[in-house]
Amino acid sequence: MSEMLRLEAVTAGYGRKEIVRNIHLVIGEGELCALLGLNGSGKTTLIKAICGLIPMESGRCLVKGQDCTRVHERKRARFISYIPQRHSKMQGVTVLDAVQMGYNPHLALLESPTALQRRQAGELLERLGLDALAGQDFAHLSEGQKQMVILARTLAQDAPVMLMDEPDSALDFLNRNQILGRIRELIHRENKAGLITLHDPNLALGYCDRLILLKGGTIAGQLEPARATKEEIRRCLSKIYGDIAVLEHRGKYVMLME
Amino acid sequence: MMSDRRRKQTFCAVSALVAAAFAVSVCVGKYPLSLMEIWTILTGGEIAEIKRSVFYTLRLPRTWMALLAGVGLGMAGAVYQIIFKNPLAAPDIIGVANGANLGAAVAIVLFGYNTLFTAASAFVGGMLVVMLVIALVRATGNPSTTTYILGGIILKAVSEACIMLLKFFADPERQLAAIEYWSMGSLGNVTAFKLLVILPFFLVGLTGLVLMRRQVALLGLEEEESRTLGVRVGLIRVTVLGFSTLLIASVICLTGLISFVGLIAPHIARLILKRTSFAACILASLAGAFILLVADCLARSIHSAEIPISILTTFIGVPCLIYFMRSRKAGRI
Amino acid sequence: MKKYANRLICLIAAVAVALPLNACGASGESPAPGGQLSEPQGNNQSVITPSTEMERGGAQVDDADENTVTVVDQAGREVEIETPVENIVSGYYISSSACIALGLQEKLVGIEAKADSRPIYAMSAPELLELPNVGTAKEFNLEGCIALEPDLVILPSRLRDSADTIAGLGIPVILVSPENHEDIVDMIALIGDAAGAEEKAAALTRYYKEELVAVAGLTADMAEKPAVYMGGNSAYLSTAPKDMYQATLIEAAGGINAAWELEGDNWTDISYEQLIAMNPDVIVIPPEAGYGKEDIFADSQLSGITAVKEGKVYQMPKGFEAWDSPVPSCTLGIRWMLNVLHEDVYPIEELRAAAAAFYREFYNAEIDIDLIEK
Repeated sequence: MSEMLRLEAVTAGYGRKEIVRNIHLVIGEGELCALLGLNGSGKTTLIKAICGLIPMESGRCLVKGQDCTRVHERKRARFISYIPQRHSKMQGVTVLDAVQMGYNPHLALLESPTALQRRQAGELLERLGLDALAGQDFAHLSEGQKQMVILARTLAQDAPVMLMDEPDSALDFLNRNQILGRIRELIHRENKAGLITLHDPNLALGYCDRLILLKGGTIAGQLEPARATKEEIRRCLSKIYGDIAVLEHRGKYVMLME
Repeated sequence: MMSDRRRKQTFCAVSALVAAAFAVSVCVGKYPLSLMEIWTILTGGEIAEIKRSVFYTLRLPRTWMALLAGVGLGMAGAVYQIIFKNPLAAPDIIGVANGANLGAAVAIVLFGYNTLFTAASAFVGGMLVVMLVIALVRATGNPSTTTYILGGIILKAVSEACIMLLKFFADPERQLAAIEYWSMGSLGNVTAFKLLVILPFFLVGLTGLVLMRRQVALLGLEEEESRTLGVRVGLIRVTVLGFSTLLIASVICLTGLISFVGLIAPHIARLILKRTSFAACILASLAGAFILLVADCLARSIHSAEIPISILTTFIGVPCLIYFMRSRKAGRI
Repeated sequence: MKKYANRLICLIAAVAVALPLNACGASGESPAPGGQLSEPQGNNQSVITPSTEMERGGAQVDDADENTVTVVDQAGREVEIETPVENIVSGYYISSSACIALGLQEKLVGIEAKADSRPIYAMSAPELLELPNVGTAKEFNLEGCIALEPDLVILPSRLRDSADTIAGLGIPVILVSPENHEDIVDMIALIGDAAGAEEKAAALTRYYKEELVAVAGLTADMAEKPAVYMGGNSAYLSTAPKDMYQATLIEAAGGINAAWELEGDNWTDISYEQLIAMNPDVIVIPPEAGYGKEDIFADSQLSGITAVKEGKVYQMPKGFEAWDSPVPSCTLGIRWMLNVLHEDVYPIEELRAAAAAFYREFYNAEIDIDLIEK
């Protein structure tokens, strides 16, 4: 499995204040990683730093061997895509047009999407089961549908690294599981590297290949649920969450407060 | 939402309305030109030289100006409402109108009421104020839309203060009245020559905006989303603002301030199309052209003296907007 | 097809600029100021000799058989006018009044707006009030003016742009800018030459000359020249600084402008303190003022001023013209002021007689002499 995203000694924050310090991280092809941590641990800061939304104080960020630390937005968008926690209203924009926005890094400044790209956007919607919505106003969809459209847009962007900031936060129970399932399937099938921040460790345990635990701005531990024992999982998670218990059900793990 | 066919029909209908308004406007005026005479002039037939001159020097350029001004203000208003994510954004949100007003006031006080100097000074004033806003935003190092709006507020306040200062020193008998009158807007001073001078600036601005339509839509997203989709927001925003300022300045330097059109034409377009794509921007420019053509016809015909055009655009635009608001409420979405 | 949309847009834009520019070149419209320039005439020119005390403007009269007249207007433009002139449009109240004084009222086909607010028309040429108006100095009605098919258009110099546009359509336009007595004389001569009323113009000019000489004679040896404060039209705390016409009016009538220290050439607002410091001997209210003597007497803050204490607050007669401005009947304004300041030298009966004679001769009107008072 080749390396997709590499972070070396990354330090970032807002203004003078450092929020995350000396982060070393490697994510490989086809690997979906979860970034877990309590409020204020620096999850969102780290994600934004990788996306270039806030500048890195020090350190490097490489995607497929290319240094993406200080490139401009257009170049970076070809390597890294980002699904924010709260998306734009996009009132009056059709679903199909919203998806086609993802082609921006691949188009010249004044160029419009080609007929081929338009068709591809339609196919992306079909793949996610959204083709019936293609002509509808984005703002009129349900939250779950909106998130799926944003996901389709990210797929259109076709960047090797996909970052997501709590994509489940506004969704109900069923939609949460559905979208994470889709993300997992996509990362595996398209061989992308995925890094996703989550509040709920159970979702991480259920869908992600590796859990990265952030505490106080540094990586407190890493964990692969498929390879670890229940005890190892419990010990690792308790570093952040304290007194917890881990249960197993049909090969899947679940965490509870003790 | 609308089907493609209905959309095409809507565009055809609105274009036809604009063409009709254009035809009516060309026939209206204090100089008597009958339809037959206009037809003769257009087909190059034999007619008194003075009639031909009046038509080509005064009547036709004025009508063209109303059309172009409506298109420019409608387009600029629609674009601003997208990129500032604010349905109340109007073409003067970052101060181009106030800057133009200041430029005109300076010219009137220094050179007397000479349309050419006033127009040139208004154009420079409008562009200068926007450049100052952009510079101010860069100086703060925080190029978000809010910063632009704040910069606009600051420069507008400064311009207004300078205008007040000029009004204070102006001759109340002549210059003061001229400054006030300029700010009410009028198409009465438009001649073929002046129109041709501003035409290149207008077309560069309009073409620039049309070419950048995809980027305009992308700027309508939240800043984080645009940037991670690969939009170099700082650069693109300045470019779009530059084109639209060129567009607006080229119009209002000749006509003075025309209020309301840039604010409501986009709303009308959105209420008809229920979309916020560039098609809505184009419909907004057609709607703006229609409003302004009708307003100019009325400005010349209601009263023996010419009524300043801003008064009429407001009185025409408001009922249109109310009508559409009500039809939306009645559920005809 | 979408691929070429952008290129198509650029092409349309380029054509949209190129085509009209082409057409512009063909039609030959240009922004050159002034009317058509005439070639200088070498022979048979008769130039009106300037009088020794008052210079006339550079008006030149060409041969009658050329059927044109070339004048230089008060903005320095050379204008060629085809004679005879039958239709005149006057866009300025001063030139309209001058036209009446020169006996040209029958040739007027259009005048300025708000003519009914000026009593001079009702008094001497009420038919003019029926004429279509061509707008104000703020908003001049180009099409309306051209629709009247004038042979000559007279405009104030601040309407230079409109003048250029009209001239560009082949209609001669002359610009006037009467700021002082010399300008008034030049304007009278200019309009007289342009419109073929040279004799009346000469008569009026002669009258002015005689009047000014007479008044100068009466005020020559005056020891006491009272300080006169001229109020503004909108408020009495506004006055004329030393470069305005009103200041020369006061001086010609044997007075001193109380505001002689103020700089500027338009109405200047002042404060109560300044007015009290000036302490004028006489206060004069212009005819079109929005306030009256009562307002000044009623203002307690002005009660310490000499003029108020002695009751020497006067208003120019309202029923005629704005005698405080450079109108053709300006010498009557000087005469009135003379009467106000030095009644012993110039009693009111003489003023009334002079006014009646003036309006009878030049405006063909009988006036109500009781309206002439202080």
